[in-house]
Amino acid sequence: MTVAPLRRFLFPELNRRFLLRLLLVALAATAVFTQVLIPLRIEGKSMEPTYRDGGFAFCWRGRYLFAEPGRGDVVAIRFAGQRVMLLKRIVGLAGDTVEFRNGALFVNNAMVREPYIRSPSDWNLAPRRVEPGKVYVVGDNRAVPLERHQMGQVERARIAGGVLW
Amino acid sequence: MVNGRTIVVAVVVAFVAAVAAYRFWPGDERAIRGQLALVEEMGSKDEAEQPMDGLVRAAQLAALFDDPCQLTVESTRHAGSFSRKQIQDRIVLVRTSFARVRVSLHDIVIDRIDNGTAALHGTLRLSGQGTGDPVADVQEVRVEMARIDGQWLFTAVTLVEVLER
Repeated sequence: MTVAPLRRFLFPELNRRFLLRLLLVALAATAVFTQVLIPLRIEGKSMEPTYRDGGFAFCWRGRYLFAEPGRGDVVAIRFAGQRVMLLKRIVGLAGDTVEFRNGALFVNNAMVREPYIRSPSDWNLAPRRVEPGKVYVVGDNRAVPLERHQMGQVERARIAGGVLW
Repeated sequence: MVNGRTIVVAVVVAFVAAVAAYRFWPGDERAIRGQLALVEEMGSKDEAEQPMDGLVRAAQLAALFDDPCQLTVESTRHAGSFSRKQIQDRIVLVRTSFARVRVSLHDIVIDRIDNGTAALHGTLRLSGQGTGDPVADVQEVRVEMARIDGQWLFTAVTLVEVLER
């Protein structure tokens, strides 16, 4: 890039055409980052080591437009809105029976291998069936005491989207 | 002669004035949001807070609740009517368990305001430091308020069960 185009790029002339372009870019960015790819600042350790406290990710709203959530997917769960969401991993689908025995996850009475779990766990949770229209979600950090971990079955409609990476 | 630039400036000024009037005009919604801001302010605690300041803040926070107030925790199937004194004692207990805590409300939606009553819902977030590890909790709340003696007070508060174990 020669000097003149570079200067025009860095210090554009404030004409009507430039202002219109700026407005369109701002509108497009607002639409994309509030409705399609919602930026997530991760706070808390419930999804460690997959997602670190202080990390950053995007919630991809289109993830489940044409596909159903599956076991192992990491999803963003919304509360009253989308300003605060929980990142959790789906471990059970509607109709499944979920339980923990000495830290091991069992779905439909079969032990599930979870390569993303790094911390030892002593969780015990009696079997429970996931109701229709819901999924069962748990965090990846099983080192925290079970009673302090936010987990459980949640309405499918509360899944705001998947996590982009 | 009025040119195009004058019209654009007039439209921008009118838009800014309308937004400012909507945001700052005194009214029920503004009063309700003011009470919610007090919840955030009085509920939060920093490490340097003196015990007497804590008691004053708890009393100011409890004063935002009607006497008695209906409290419901869906996850524990607990519902009851609590006096302002009981609520204040509970606030003191919870705040004492934190070295520091930040209370914040997000995605507040006022569902209706009529005849001196209001219904709203939102997301309540607590983050801070307990006696050991950092503590973070998120709850969806449904709130009913009433204007009593000119002040909007909480008459019913429900912690919605989003994740059902």
